[in-house]
Amino acid sequence: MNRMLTLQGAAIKAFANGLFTALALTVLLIGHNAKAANPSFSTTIPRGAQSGTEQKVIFYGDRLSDAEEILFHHPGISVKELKVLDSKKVEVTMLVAPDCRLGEHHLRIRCRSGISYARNFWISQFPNVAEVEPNDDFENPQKISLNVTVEAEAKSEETDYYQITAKKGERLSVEIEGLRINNIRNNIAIDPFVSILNKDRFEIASADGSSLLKQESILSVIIPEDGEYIVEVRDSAYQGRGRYRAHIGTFPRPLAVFPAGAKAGSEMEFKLIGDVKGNFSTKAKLPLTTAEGTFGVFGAQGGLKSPSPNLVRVSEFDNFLESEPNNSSKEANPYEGSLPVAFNGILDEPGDTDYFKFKAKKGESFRFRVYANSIGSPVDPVLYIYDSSMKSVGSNDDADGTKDSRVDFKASEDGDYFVRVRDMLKNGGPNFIYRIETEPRSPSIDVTMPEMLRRELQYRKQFNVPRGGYYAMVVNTSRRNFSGDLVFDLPSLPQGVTWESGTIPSSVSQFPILLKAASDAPIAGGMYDLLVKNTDKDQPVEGKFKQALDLVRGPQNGVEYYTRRHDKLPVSVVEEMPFSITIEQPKVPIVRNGSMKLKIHANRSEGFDQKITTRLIWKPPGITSPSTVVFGEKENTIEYELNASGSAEINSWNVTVIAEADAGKGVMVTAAPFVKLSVEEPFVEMKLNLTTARQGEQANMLANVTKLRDFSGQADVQLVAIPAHATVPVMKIDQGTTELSLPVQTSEKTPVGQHKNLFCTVTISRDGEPIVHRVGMGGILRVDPKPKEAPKTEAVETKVVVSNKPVSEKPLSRLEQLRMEAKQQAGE
Amino acid sequence: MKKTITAVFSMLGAVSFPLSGEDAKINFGKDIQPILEFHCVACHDANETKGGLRFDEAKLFFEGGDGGPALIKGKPDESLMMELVSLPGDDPDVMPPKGRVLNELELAKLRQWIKEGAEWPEDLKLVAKKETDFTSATPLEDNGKAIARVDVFPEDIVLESKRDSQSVVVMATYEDDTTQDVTSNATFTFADPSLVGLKTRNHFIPLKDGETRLSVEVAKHTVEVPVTVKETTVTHPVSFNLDVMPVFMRNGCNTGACHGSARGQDGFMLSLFGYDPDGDHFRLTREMAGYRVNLAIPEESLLVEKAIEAVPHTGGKLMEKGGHAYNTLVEWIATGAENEKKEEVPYVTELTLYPPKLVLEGAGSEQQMTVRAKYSDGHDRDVTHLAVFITNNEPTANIDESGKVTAGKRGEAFIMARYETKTVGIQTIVIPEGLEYTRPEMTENNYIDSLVHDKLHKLRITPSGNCSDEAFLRRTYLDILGQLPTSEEYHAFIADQGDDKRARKIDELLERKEFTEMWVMKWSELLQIRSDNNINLGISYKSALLYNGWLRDRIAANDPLNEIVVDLIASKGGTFSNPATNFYQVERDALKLSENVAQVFMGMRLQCAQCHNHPFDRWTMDDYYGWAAFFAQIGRKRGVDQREQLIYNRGSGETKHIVGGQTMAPKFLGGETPDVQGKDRREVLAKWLASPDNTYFSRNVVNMVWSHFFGVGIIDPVDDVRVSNPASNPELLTELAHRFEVEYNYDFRQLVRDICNSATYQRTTQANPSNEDDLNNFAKARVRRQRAEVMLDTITQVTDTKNKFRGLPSGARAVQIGDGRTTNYFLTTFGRATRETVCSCEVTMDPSLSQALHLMNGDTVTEKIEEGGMVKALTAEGKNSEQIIEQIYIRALTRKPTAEEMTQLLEEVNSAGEDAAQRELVLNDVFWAVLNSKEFMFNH
Repeated sequence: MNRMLTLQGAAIKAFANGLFTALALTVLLIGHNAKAANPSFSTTIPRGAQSGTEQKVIFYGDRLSDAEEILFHHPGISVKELKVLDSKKVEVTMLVAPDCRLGEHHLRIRCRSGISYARNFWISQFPNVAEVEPNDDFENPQKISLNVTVEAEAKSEETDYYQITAKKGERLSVEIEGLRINNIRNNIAIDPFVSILNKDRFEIASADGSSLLKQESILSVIIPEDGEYIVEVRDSAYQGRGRYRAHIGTFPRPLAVFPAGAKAGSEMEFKLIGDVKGNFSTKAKLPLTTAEGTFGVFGAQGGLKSPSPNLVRVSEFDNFLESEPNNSSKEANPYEGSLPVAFNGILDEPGDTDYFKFKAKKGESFRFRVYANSIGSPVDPVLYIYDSSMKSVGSNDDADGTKDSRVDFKASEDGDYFVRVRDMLKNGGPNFIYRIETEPRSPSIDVTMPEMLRRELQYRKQFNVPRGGYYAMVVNTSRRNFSGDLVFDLPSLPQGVTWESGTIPSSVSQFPILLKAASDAPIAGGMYDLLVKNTDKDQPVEGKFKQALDLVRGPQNGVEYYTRRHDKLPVSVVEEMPFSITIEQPKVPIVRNGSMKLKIHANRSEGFDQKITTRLIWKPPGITSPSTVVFGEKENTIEYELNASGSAEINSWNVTVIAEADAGKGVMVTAAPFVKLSVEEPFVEMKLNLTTARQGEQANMLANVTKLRDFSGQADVQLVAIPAHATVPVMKIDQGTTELSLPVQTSEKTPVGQHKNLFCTVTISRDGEPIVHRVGMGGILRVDPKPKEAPKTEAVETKVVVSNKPVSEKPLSRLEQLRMEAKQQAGE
Repeated sequence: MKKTITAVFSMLGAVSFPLSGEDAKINFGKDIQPILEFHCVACHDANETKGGLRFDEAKLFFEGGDGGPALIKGKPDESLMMELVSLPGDDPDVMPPKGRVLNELELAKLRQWIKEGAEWPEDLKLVAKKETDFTSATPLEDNGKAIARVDVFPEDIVLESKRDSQSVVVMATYEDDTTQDVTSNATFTFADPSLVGLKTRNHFIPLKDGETRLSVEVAKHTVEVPVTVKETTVTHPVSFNLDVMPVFMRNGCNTGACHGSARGQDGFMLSLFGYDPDGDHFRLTREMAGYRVNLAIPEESLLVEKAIEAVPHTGGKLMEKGGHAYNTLVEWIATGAENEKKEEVPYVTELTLYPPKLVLEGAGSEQQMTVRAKYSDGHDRDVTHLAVFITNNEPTANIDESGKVTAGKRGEAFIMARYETKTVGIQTIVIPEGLEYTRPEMTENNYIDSLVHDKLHKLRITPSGNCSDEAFLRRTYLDILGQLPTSEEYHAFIADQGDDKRARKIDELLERKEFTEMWVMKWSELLQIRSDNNINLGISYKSALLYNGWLRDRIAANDPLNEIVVDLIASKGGTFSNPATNFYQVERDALKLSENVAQVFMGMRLQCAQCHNHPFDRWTMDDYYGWAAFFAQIGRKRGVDQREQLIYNRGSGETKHIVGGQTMAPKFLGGETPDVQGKDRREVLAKWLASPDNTYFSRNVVNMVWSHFFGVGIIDPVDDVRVSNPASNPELLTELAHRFEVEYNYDFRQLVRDICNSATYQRTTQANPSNEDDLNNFAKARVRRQRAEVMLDTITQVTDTKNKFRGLPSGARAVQIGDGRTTNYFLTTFGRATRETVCSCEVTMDPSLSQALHLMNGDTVTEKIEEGGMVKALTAEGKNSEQIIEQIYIRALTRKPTAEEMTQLLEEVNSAGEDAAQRELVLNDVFWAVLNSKEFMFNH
C-alpha cells in the first residue's frame, strides 16, 4: 500500500495529552488504495518523432478508453487524429512542425475522466529507424544509413550493433536517449554504453555516460578511413531493459557552451566548445523566463544540429567573463561594477583555480551560486569567498542536493572581496565551464504543491473537477526575504470552472484552493497559470507555481533520476461523479484546547454504495485530526473530529475535505464546498487540585473554575482519565461557578498510586451544538492503600466527621485534611 | 661426575690456581669464596637461613647461628663448622647434606683459613653458585666430521652498569652444514681478567671499566670476541617498564587466558601482552591502593605472594622465592614501585636470537640460545632470562624456558624468542643421526632450482624427477589458463620433438587472454569485487563490473603491478569515472581498510594490533594506528548518479590511539614516518607501498604467484606473513622478490615464466622415500584440486557446452565472472570465494561430500554430457568406440588411455551390442566416469 503523506507533516504537533498523541500519529499510517492517476499514461512507442513529419504514436497506459485529447507543454506538436484502440492503447497521429524545438517535450493524455501524468517525447531532426532484430552479433549488425534516429529496445544482457558506412575525415557522432525515456519504477531501464568500432573490432572510441547528459552517452569521432563502422549500444551493466533512441550521424556535438548564461531576453553569441571538428559559435536570443531557469543552445553546422542542446542559464544579470591568468588573489579578475553580476569562466587545465575580485558595501547581501554540474559541465565546483585580507567569508562544496555550490554572502564592511572557484578533484579542461550568479536577497515567493505520495511527485497534481462538483488542492508558498499576507490568482481556467480561496495570513505557508465546475461546464482541460501575490500594494511580490516532474526514478527505493520542471497547472472538467460531499456548517466555534466533530454528508447517486474515504487536506494552524475518516458502504453521514491545540490560531478558516472512492473506473476524487471553521478563545479555565483517597473511599477533587468569557446556561463537566475502578458523575457549572468539587468514588480495586493526567471536558451548548473544552490538564489523584488493621472506631469516627459535612460546603484541601486528622489525634 | 676442584679453579682468577702450600697465606676470594658459594650459601642465605646461620655476609656469618658461632678464629679444631664438614660422608649430620662432601684439599684450605684468622672482606657478599657452572672445557668428541667453522654469539660483549651480564654460546658448524653447541667444550680466556667476573663459566658480569678481548678456543679453533666494560659503578634502579613488565610477559601473567583477558582474571587485569604499561602500573598501585603492592613490606605484597603461591593463586606457582623474577618484583616494590615517564623509557630497537641458524643432527642434541636486546638509548642487554621462547614444531625442536633447544624427530622448526614488543626467530633443521645421504646431481633449469635444491640438501631430501610431457601440458594449461589443452593442442605438443618445447609452450600460454583472466579473478578476490544492492554498504553492480573491467584492462595491458597498486591506493574521483576508487567503497571503515591493505598488499594480518600488541609479530598498537592514519582523510560523497560515489582527499581527519587517545602520525609499517603535510596521505602511502622501500610488497606478490603454481606458498598461508610464520625457503623468496622488483620491473608474467620453466615446477607428483613427508619444500609436485571456477570451466570445455552467468554473454567462462555476488550452486559447492573478506582462505580447495555427490548425482556433469552431445557428434563423424574413448581421455585427462583401460572400457561398450543408441549411452557413461575420476578433478 502506498503511504499517504500528511499535508502538514511538520505542523502536526503532538497534543500535550498522550491520548491525543497516539491519535495524531495514526495520521501517517492510514493509507488508501489510491495508486495511479486516473487515467494512467505509461509510455509511447515510438518514443519520439522527426520534426516536420507526421508520426503515428501508440500511447500506452490504463483506463484510456475515454481519451479525448493530448496536452502538450510546449508548442510545435499537434494531433491530427486520436483513435482509442482499447483501454490500454490510444493511437495518435501527430503532426510535428518543421520548427518544433528539438529534444524533449512533455505531454499528457486528457480523458473524460481526467488528465494523466506528464511523460516525455523526443523530437529529432532525423527520421526514426526501427531496430530490426537480430542485431546482437558483431558479425551481423543492422545496416543503417547515417543521420537517423534508431528507435530500439534494449533487452537484458543484449548488445545491439549498427553498421554505417562513413568517409575518412567525416564526423561520426552518436547520442543516446535511454535512461531519460523509460519510466520503470525502482529500476534503471538502460544506462547506455556506446562504442564505435571498426570492422576489425578495434574500438575507436567508447563512452559510458557524459558530463553533459549524465548517464546518457555521447560520442563523436573523426572517421580515420573510408569504410564500414559498427556502433555498439548496450546497457553499461548488462542489466537494463527498455527503449532507447540512438541518434547516429554526422551532426556536431559540442560538449560545453561559453558563457554558460546570459541576461534574459538578450541576444548573445555563444562559443560552443569541444566538438571533434573544433569550436564554433552560434547566436541565440534568450527568452524572458523559463520554468527550468535554463535555455538550450543548439550548435548547428552544415545544417545539422546536435540532438540535444547545451544549456545556458537565463538570469537577470550581466555577464563578467574570466581572463586568464586569474589563479590567485593577486591575479584576480577585477569586476568594477556593482553586484549582481554573473561571473563566467573555464577551469581550463587540471588544478586551475579562478579568482574574481568585486566590491561590496557594508550590509549588502547576495547569494553566490555556481552553476556547473547542473548545466552539464564536468566541474564539481567548490566556491570560496574571501575578504580583502583573504580571510574566508564562506565556502561550500555541494548545496541543495546538487554538486553545485552556494554561499550566502553579506558584506561586513565596504571594500574589495574575492570569489574563487575550483574543481573539487582539481580536474580541469577546455569544457570545464562554470557560471557564478550573485542573486540579490530580494523578496520572492516559491509556489509548489506538497508531495502527496512519497516518491511520486506527480501524484494528485492534475486537477480534475467533476461537473457540478468541487475539487480542492493545497498549495505551499514560501516567502523569501519578506513576510505578509498572500492571495492566489488563477487568471484563467477551463470554461465553467471557478475558484475560491481566501487570504493566506502571514503565519501560514500552506493554503487550500477550491475549484468548482458548473454543472454545464464542457468536458475540457488544459494547462493554466497559478500565481501568488502579496497583498501589500507598495511592494508587490509575485510567485508562479512550479512543479517537478519526476520522469525517471531509479533503484535505491525509487530515488529521482531524471526530473524536469514545468510551471503550469493541469486542470480539467470531468464527468459528473456518482456522489458528492458536503460539510455541515458548524454553528459554534472550536475553542483552543477544545474539540469539535464536523458532520459530513455524502449524497450518493442511486446505486452507488461504495466506501468513501474523506481526508481533511488542509488543517488550520493548531488543528489536528485523523488523516482520513471513511464512510462505510451505504453510509451517508460521518463525523470528523477536530482538536485544537492551546496555540491554535484565532481566526475563521475555510475548510474542506476531499473524498475519494472507486467508482469502477479507478479512484475518483471530489471535494466538499468550504465551510467556515471559527477558532476562538475558550470560555472557561479550570485547575484541578491534588487529591488523595484511600482505596474504597470517595475523594472530592477540588476544581477552581475561572470564567474567561460569558456564556449562558449550564455547562457539563466531566472528569476524564480517572483510574480504573473509579467513577465520577457529570457535574454542572454555570458562568458564576468558581469552585467545584468532583466526587470520585474509588473502590477496593482502584489501583494504588499517583494517577496523573486527569482533566475535565467542559461542554457548553449553543444553538444545539456542543462547544467542547478540554481544561484542567495535569490533575493528580493519589490513591493510597486501604489501611491495614486500622482501629475500627477511629475510622468510623473520621468518616463520620467528613461525611457529615454537607457537600455544598467548601471541601477540604489535602493539607486541611491532614491538619484536621492531626488535630483529632492530638485531641484524643 | 669426576670434576676436580683444580679444574674449577682453572677457570677462576689467574685461571690456574697454584696449589697453596702450608707456607702460602690463604686468599679468601680465590680459595674460600668458591667453597662457600658452591657448598654453603644456597642453604644459608637470606632466603633460606638454615640453622639460623648466614653464609652470604661476613657480619652475619660471624654472628653465628642457633648452635652458636660457626667458627672460632684461629682455632679450627674448636670450630663447629670444621667439625661438621669433616664428618664421614654417611653421617646424617655431615655438611653439606646434599651433593658431594668436601675433599681433602678443600678441608685443608678451610682449616688454614680459620687458623689464619678467617679473614672475610666486610663488603663482599657471597652468592650461591653451582659447581657445574664452573667446570672446565670438556674435550670435544670426534664424530668423524671436520669442523668448518666456530662461532661465538653474540659477536661482541658489552657490559654496562653493575647489574649487567652477558651469556655467550659457542657453536660449531661442520663441513656437512650440521651444527653443534660446543659451549661446554670451549675454553674462555680474557686478555684482562680483572675487568670481568663470572656468573657461570660462559656468563660474564662486569667488574671494572675497560676494554679487553675474550678468546674462545674449541678444538683448535680460536675466536676472538671484543669485550667492553663500562659504567661499573652505576646501579640502575629496577625499572617498571624494562624489568617488571617483562616479568609479567615471561611468566604468562598478561596472556589472554590469565590477567590479560579483557575482564582480567579473579578481579585483576593486566593489559594483554603488556600493551599499556601505564595502565598496568595504575592497576598495580592505585586501583586497590596498598593491596596488590605493599610498600612497607614488599615481600608481603599480594603481587609477590600470589606469584610464589604463598597465598592461593588460580594460576599456580609462577616463580621461585629468591629467583630472578621474584627479586625483581620485590626490589621494585621496595624502591617505591615507581613508574617511569613513557618518553624516558628506552625501547627495544633490535632483538637478536643467537645462533642464527641450527642444523641439529640426531634426536636429543641440544643447543643453548642467547637473546640480546639493543635499546634506543644505545645500551644492550642480555634478556635470555626475560624472553619467552616458542617453537612452532615441538616434536622436531623443543625449547625450554631457559632457552635450550632439544632436537626431536626429523624436520624443520622455527624457534622464536619474544621480548617486549619484538619477536625474532631462527630456522632449525633436525636431521637423523647417521643418515646415508649424498647430495644428488639434479638438473637446474634456473635460479629457482638451485635455491630449492640448497634447501633440500640441508634437509637431506632428494627431489622427485621430471614429470611426463602429458602431465606438464595438463598442469601448465590448468595453472596458466584455467583450461585444458584441446585434442589438437595435445597432439601437436606430443609430436613436437624440440628440446625447448616446454619453454615455448609456456611462452605461448602466457600470451593468451585466459592467463589475464585468471589473474583478474585472483586479484578480484583480493580486492573483494562484489556488488551490493545497498550501495551504502558497498558498490553497485555497475561499479563492480567497471572495477573488474578496469583491473582486466590493466593486467591485459601488462602494466607493472606496482603502478596498478599506486593507482588503486591513490585513486580519487567517481566510482564510475575512475573505477579504481571502488577500492574505497568495498571497505569504508578506515581501520578495516588499513588492515585490508596490509593483508592484500603486504600479506600481513594486523587485526590483533588494533587492541593489543601483536603477540607473534613485531606490530604494536602504535604501528597499527600509525598505519591506519593513512586512511583517516578519505572523503566520500554521492556522485551525480545515485549509484556513484566520489572518493576524494578530505585533507583533514586524524586517527587516535585507542589507549590514551593520542593523535597518531601516519607511519609506514616497519618504515619511517613520512611527511604528509599538505599531501594526500594515500598518495604518500601508495608510492611507498609498491616500491623497493617496502620489502613486503614484492615478497608478498611473488609468494602469491608461487602459491598459485605450487598449491602452497613459500610463506603459507600467503596472507599471514609474520615473524612466527617464516618462509620455508627465505633465500628463494628473497631472490624471487629481488628479480620481480629490480629485473622484471614488477611484471609478474616474467615471474610466472621463471616458475613454470623451473625443474621444481616440472617435477612429478611421485614421491621418493626421502620426500614423501615433505609438504613445504617443493621436492615433488603437489596434487591440487581444481578450483571451483576452473573446474566448472573445464567440465564445460570438455563437454562442449556453455554456461550462462548474470551479466555475461552465454558461453562465458566462470573465471570471467566479475562480480563476487554472481555464483551458482556448482561454484558455491566447490568453494568459490564469496569475496566478503580479503582472506586467502576464502577460496576453499578442500574436497567435501557434497562436492562428490554433486558431481556424481547432481545435474552439472550428466546434463552437460548430454547437452554437449560429444559422443553423438563423434559417432556421426564415423569414429569408432576406441577412437571416441581415446578422445574422451585426451580431452579430459590429457593422455591416451592405457591398454588395460581401453580393453576394459571396450568390453563395456561392446556389451551394448550393435544398437547405436545403446552404444552412445554406454560411451556417455564412460565420459561420466572419466569426469568423476580423481584424475580429472585434480591438477597433478
